[in-house]
Amino acid sequence: MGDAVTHLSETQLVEAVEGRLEAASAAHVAGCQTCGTRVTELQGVMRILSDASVPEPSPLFWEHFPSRVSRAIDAPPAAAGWFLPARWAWGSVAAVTLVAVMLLLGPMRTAVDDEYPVTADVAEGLQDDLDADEAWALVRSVADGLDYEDAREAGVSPRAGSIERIAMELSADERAELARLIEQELKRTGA
Amino acid sequence: MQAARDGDRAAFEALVARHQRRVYQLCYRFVANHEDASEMAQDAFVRAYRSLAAFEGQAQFATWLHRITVNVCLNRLAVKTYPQTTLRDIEASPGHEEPADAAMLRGERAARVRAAVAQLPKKQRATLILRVYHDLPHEEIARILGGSVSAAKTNLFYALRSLRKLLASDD
Repeated sequence: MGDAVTHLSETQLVEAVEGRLEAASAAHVAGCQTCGTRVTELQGVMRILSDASVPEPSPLFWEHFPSRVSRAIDAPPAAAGWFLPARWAWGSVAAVTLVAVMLLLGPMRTAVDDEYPVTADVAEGLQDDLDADEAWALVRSVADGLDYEDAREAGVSPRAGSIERIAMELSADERAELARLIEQELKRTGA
Repeated sequence: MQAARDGDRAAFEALVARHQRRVYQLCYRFVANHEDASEMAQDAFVRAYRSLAAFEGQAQFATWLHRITVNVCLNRLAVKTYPQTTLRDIEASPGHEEPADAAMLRGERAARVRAAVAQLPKKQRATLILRVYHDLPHEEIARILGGSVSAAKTNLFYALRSLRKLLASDD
């Protein structure tokens, strides 16, 4: 039985493309055709990407953009979108969301998280599921309309990526249930 | 910065002018069209203005603004479906002709790459944009998107691999 060859992992391949691979792994790439080819292919994609610049808007756009932002800051809240509930209702919706998430996550948050960590492949699949999940789109839209002060008043301390992290820990059924609770609360508050 | 935090609108507009190009470009990478990108950039600055009091100054303003912009982009993608511009759409679009010179060829190639990037799943797209076009370290990307450094690198790997397939299949 021959020795099993261990090729570079996904993270090591990225490190190789960026020229940050540790010496031992770099030596492997030098002698391994499979890994060498993978690194070369990914470097090719990086080169193509670096050539694709964003089209430059007209100078007038840049000139007027700061005042456009100022006008948007001064605009009444209704301009944000017809589907957004009144400001006073957000505290209530945020509170329901928070309680619902705690209830749903409570029994789940045990040592199991450490025992069975989510692998990269599974995480990628979950992310794709979330992208296609209509129930979760509602939760995201509520979180999107919730501003910092409203959330703080409701006792929620939103952090970057926190919505994504919560979603990763809920099953599709649990996300649907969370969306149902939020919809119910939106109707109850007349928002 | 302090003046803007104290409510000086002119100072905030100066901050907008200083950072508008990077914020707009970040948004454009997500949606690949000017109209949505400019709206999202505006939204990011409005949110930044309303959260200035919460900005503690420990992180750089640019990094903090990046986080807000990425959240605006991810949230927008969650509630609005954008028509996917495929590479074949670009070729079939009115006015599309054989490139007459090198500049046109470069422009067309860039449009094809942007269209391919816009087809990536959100998290992969965000990771790739922040790493490749905004040169953010993996650690910062992990903080912004909420995950580990290893997950950020893995997302970048899958993004590059998917792009390779997308670009190859349309050649």
